[in-house]
Amino acid sequence: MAADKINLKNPIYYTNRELSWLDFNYRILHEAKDKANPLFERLKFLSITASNLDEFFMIRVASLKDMYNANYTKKDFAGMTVSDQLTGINIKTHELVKNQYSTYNRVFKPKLGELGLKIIDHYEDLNEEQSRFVDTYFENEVYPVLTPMAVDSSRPFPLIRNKTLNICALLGDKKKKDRYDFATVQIPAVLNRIVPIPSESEQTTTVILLEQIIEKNINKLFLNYEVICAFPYRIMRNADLSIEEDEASDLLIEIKKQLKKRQWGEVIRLEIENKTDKRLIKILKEELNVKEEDIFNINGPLDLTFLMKVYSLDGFDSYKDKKYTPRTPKRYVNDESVFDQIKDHDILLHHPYDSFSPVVDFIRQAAKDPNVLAIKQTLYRVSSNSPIIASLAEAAENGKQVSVLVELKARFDEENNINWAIKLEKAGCHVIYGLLGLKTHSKITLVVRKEEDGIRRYVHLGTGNYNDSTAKLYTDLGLMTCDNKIGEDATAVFNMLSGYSEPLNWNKLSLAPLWLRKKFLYLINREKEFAMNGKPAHIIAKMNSLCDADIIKALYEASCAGVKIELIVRGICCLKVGIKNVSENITVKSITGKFLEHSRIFYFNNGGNEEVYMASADWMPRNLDKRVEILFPVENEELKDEVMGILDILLKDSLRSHYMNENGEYVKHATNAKGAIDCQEYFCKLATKNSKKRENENDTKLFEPMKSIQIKQ
Amino acid sequence: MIGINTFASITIGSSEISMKIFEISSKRNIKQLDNVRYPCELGMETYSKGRLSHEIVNNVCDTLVDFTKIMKEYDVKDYIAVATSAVREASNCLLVLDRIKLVTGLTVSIVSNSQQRFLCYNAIALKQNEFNNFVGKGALVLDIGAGSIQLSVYESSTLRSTQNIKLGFLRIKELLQNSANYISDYSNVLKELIDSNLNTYSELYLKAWDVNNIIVISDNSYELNKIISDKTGNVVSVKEFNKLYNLLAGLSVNQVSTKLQISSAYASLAQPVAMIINKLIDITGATNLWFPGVNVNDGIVVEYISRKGKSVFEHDFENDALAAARQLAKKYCCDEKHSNNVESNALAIFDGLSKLHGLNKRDRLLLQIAIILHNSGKFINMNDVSVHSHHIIIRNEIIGISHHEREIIADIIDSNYNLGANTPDAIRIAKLSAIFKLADVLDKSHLQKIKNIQVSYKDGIIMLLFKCDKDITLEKIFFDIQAEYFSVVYGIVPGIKQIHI
Repeated sequence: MAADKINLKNPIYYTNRELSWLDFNYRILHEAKDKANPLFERLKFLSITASNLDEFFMIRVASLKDMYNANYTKKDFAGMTVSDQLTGINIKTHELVKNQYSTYNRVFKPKLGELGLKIIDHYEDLNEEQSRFVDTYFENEVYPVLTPMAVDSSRPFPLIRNKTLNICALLGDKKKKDRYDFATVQIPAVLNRIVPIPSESEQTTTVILLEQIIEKNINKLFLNYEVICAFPYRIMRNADLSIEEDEASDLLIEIKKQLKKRQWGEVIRLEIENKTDKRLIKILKEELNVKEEDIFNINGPLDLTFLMKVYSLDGFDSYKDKKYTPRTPKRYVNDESVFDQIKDHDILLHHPYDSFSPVVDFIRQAAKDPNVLAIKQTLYRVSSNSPIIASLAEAAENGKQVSVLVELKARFDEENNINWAIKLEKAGCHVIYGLLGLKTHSKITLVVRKEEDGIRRYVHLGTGNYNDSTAKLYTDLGLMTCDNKIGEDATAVFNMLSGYSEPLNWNKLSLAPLWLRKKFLYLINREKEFAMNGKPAHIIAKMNSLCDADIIKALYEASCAGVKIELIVRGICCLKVGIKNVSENITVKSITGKFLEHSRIFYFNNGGNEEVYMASADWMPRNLDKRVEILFPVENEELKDEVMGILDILLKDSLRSHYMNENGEYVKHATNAKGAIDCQEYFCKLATKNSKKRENENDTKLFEPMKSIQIKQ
Repeated sequence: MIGINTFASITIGSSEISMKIFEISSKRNIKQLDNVRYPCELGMETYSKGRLSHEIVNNVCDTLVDFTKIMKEYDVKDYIAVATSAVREASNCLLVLDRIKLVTGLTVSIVSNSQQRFLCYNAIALKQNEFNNFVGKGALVLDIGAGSIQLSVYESSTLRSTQNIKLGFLRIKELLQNSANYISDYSNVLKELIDSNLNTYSELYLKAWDVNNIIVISDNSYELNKIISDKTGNVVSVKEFNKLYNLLAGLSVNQVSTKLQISSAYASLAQPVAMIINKLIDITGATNLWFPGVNVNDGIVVEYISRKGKSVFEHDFENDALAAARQLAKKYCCDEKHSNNVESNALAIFDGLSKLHGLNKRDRLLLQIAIILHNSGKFINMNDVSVHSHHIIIRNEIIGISHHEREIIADIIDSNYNLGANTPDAIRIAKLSAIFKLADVLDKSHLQKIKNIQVSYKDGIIMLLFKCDKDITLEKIFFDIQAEYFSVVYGIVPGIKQIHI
C-alpha cells in the first residue's frame, strides 16, 4: 500500500489550528458579505466575527504569547513554532480586520442609509438640532457616570481594563503652549453603545455611537485644560491565566511564574482609529508596552459588536430572517407525562427546530412526581433564571435526592455559575464543583423513579448544554430513553463524577478522558479493516472542530485503505483533503448559518450494520484527554434512520456550506442550482410541517364521524 | 410496588469501601442496580500499625454517610453492612464500629475470614450456570484477599479441598516493603516466596485432582480483571493471560498504572497477583481463567435472601461443606466405616425426634460434620480424643461453615469442654451432643453391628429398633451410660430393642 511508504505524520499534511480558526472567522465574514442573506442578518454575522476575534485573542493568542515568553520551542503538528504561528496570525488578522471594515464602510453604511437607518460615527456629521440633543444627553445621562483620568508627574498611567472602549485625549496647558498631558476616560458599559437621536425626516432612524457623544463633549471633562485632540481606543489583555487545556501541561508551572512577575496582564492588542494623533499613539505604545505589529489601525468605529444592538432596533423586520419558533418534537406530546412517553418510546430532540421544553418538562415533572427518588445532572453553562435550576431546587425541597455537577471552569461563566450553585446548595441539593484537573463537558441527566415493576431510570443525553436560551440558537441533538443498559451506565457516570471508582465495564456509553479516544480510533480502524477486505466502508462525522493528531492520522489511514469519509466541521479543521495517497477519499464541508451548528454526530457503516453515535465531544485533544465527555449510540432503528436523515440533509446542503479544497481554502459552490438546499431552512420547515400535521390530526380526531358501526356477531 | 424490594449490601474491605444496591422481586430475582466503590487503604494501616487512625475512620464515616444518601436514591428498605479483616484485626475495632454507628446510623458487623470466603462463594450463586459448567470440568477457585488467599478444588462438581494460605496481596506488599532496602531483585524474592508456599500446597492438596479451569474471585475484581486480561470479558485463555503477564513483568509500578489505567495503589498489587495466578497455572495445567466479577456484596444479598427462607442456589454448598469435612477426616486417618455408621444412625435419631428437639436443617449439617470429624483427635493421641478433635476442628477451615459454627461442631464432640458455659448455644450444643453420643456408642465396637435403626417416639417413650443377630453387650453397657446423659437433656430415657433375624 502506498500509505506504508508515506509518513502520515508529515507536517505538510496538517493545518495549524489557529490559522484554521481564522479561516472559520473568514467564513462567517463571507456570510456577512453574502447578498443572499437579509441585510440585518449580515450585520449580525459581522458582529459575530468581531466578538469571535476578541475571544480568539483572549484565549488563543494570549496562550501563544505566554508560550512565547516562556521560550517554548516545540513545533505543532503542522511544523510551526510559536513565533511562526504568532506571525501568521498577525498577518491574517490584519487582513481580516481590513476586510471587516471595508464591509462595514462600503457595504453596510450605504445600504443602511438606503433603508433609512443612519449610524453617525463622527459627531461632526450632526445637524444643529441633533447637536443640541446630544449635548443634553451627555449632561443628563453620560457625564454623571464618567471617570476621566489625567496622567502627569503626580498621577501615574491608570489601569486600562481589558476589552473596554476608552477615549484618550491630549491636553494642552493653557499657560504653557508647548506642553501637553495625556488623559483617558472609559466609555461606560452601563450605557447603551448606540443612542437614538432625532432624525432629519420621519421616515428615517438615526443613531449615534456613545463614544462620539463623549468625544464631542470631551472639553467639559477637562475644564482647566485645552483638549488638543481625542480618539477612541481599545485594548486586549492577557489578563487571566488563560492557558488552554490543549497546551503542554509541563508548561503551566513555568507560565504561572511568568504571570506572577507582572502586575497585570500584558497588552496583546491595541485598536485605535486610523487618524489618531501620533503623539497619542506614542504615549499609548510606551505606557501599554505594545509592539508595533499588535497595533490595529481601524478605519471606522472600534468594536463592531455594537452591530448586534443595531440588529435589535425596531422596525426593520423585513430585513431580518423570520423569527423561528421551536416546535413540539415528533413522538412527543406536551402536557402528558414525560415518563410515560419515554417508557413507551425513545424520544429524539433536534434543537432548535424542536423545542427544548421536553427537557425542561422532564426535570420539572421529576421534581413534582412522588415516585421519583433521585435526579442527577451535569450543568455546564446555564441561562440566568434557568427553569431547570428552579426545578432542581424544588425537587430537593420535595425530599428527592438531587445531585448536580456544576462546572465552574466553563469559560467566562464562572460568576454566573457560582451564584446559582450556591442557590442549589441552599435548597438541599448535593453540589459537586467539578473535578480536579478535568472539565466536565458531558451533558447528561438521570432520573431514578420507583415504579410498580421496580426501579426505572430515565436518561437524557445531549450534545449541547442545558441552557434553554442557547437551545434556541444552537443546533443540537438530544436523546431521552429509559433503556436499562444506558440507565446503568448513567448511574456509573455519576458515581465516577462523585469520586467513586469507575465501573467494571460500560454497556453503551464511552467516556473521555479514559476510554473515548480508544473508542473513536477503534471505530475508524474498523472501517479501515472493512475497506481493506473489499467491503463498503463509510464514515460521516459532524462536529465543531477537528484538530486531534491521532484521529487525523487514523482518518488518513482509513482514507488510504479506501474508506469514504465525509466530514462536516464547522470551525477548526486541521485535516487536509484531496492529497494523493493521503486523503483522496476525504471531503470536508463547513456549515455556517443563523443557528450555530453545534451537534456532534458520528456515523460508521460497519460492514452494513450501520452505527450512529452522538456526543458532547469534538475531535480535539482537550475533549478527548482533559474533559469528561460522553459518546452515546442511537440504537432505536426509527431514530437511527432519522439521525441518518439529518446527516443526509447536512451533506446535501449547498447554500450554507463552504467546501474545503485541495489548497485548504474554503469555497462555496454555485448556489443558484435548482433544488439547492439550505439545511437550517429545511429543518425549520420540516419541523413546522410535522407539528402542523399533528395539530390537524388532533383536530380531525376530535370530530371524527363514525362511518361504520361494527356489530358484534 | 408489592413484592419488590431494594436492598443494599455494604462491605468495608481492606482496600475499598463498597456498596451494591439490589432489587429483589418476590420471585427472588436479583437485579443489581448500583455498584459504588471508594478506594480506601484501611488494610495498610491495620497491617502496619495494628490500629485504624482517626483520619481514616473519619474518611470511612464520610463515605458511609454518602452511601446512606445513595440508599435513599433507591428507596432502600433493608441493608447489611459488614467489615472484613482490616477492621476485624484492628485493635480499636469495637471503637471504630461504635463511631460508625454514631455518625452514620449504620450497624456494621464483623465477618470472619471463613464467613467472608463463604460470602464470596455465595456470590457465585448469582452466576450459577457458568459456575456449574466450570466446576463440572474440574476447577480451582482462587479467592484473593488482602490478608490471605483461599484455594478450593472442585472436581466433578464436588468440593475436594479448601485451604487458606497467608499470601494476600497487601500482606505480601507489607512483608517485602519493610525490607525493601535489602532486596535488590524484588521480583525474584517475590517469586521464591510464592513458589515455596504454592509448591507445598500443590503436593498436599492438588495432586490428586484434575483441574482445567481457575476461577478467580476478589473484592478488587475490576482491577484484577485488568491485570488478568486486556480485554473485557469474563473468560480468559491461559495464552492470553501469559501474553499480558510477560508484558507486565518488565514494567515498574508507575508503568503498570499507566498501561492498565488503574491507580498506582492497585498497580503495585499487579505483580504479586499475576505471579500467583501464573504459578497456579503452572502447577495445575489449567487452560482457562474465569472471572465472575462478584464480591462480598453479592454474597451478602444471596445470604440475605436465604435467611428469609428462600434459596438462590442450585449448587449445593452444604454438600461442599460435607465434602470438605470428609476430606479432612481422610487427612487425619479417621475410621471411615465407623463414622459412616454413626452418621447414619445419628441422622436417623435426629430425624425421628424432630418434634422433640425442634432443631433445624443447619443443625443437622453441623451434627453430621461433627460426626465425620469426631475421631480425628486419634491422629494426635489415643487418649483424650475428643479434646484433640476439638483442637483439630478449631484449627481447620471448612468452606461454608463459619468460625462460630465450627466452635459449635467442636463443642458437640467435646461437650465437657464448654459445659456450664452460659452461652446461647449451650442448649443447642447439648441437644446435638446427646444425639451424637447416643449414636456413637451404638458402634462402640467399631464393627458396625447396628445398622438401619428405626426410631419410634410415641407416648413419651423413645425406642430405637434394629435388626441384628450379633452380640451387642458392649454397646448396651455404654448405651445405658449415654442414655442417662440424654435424659438430662431431653427428659426422656431412650431404650433400644434388638430384633433378631
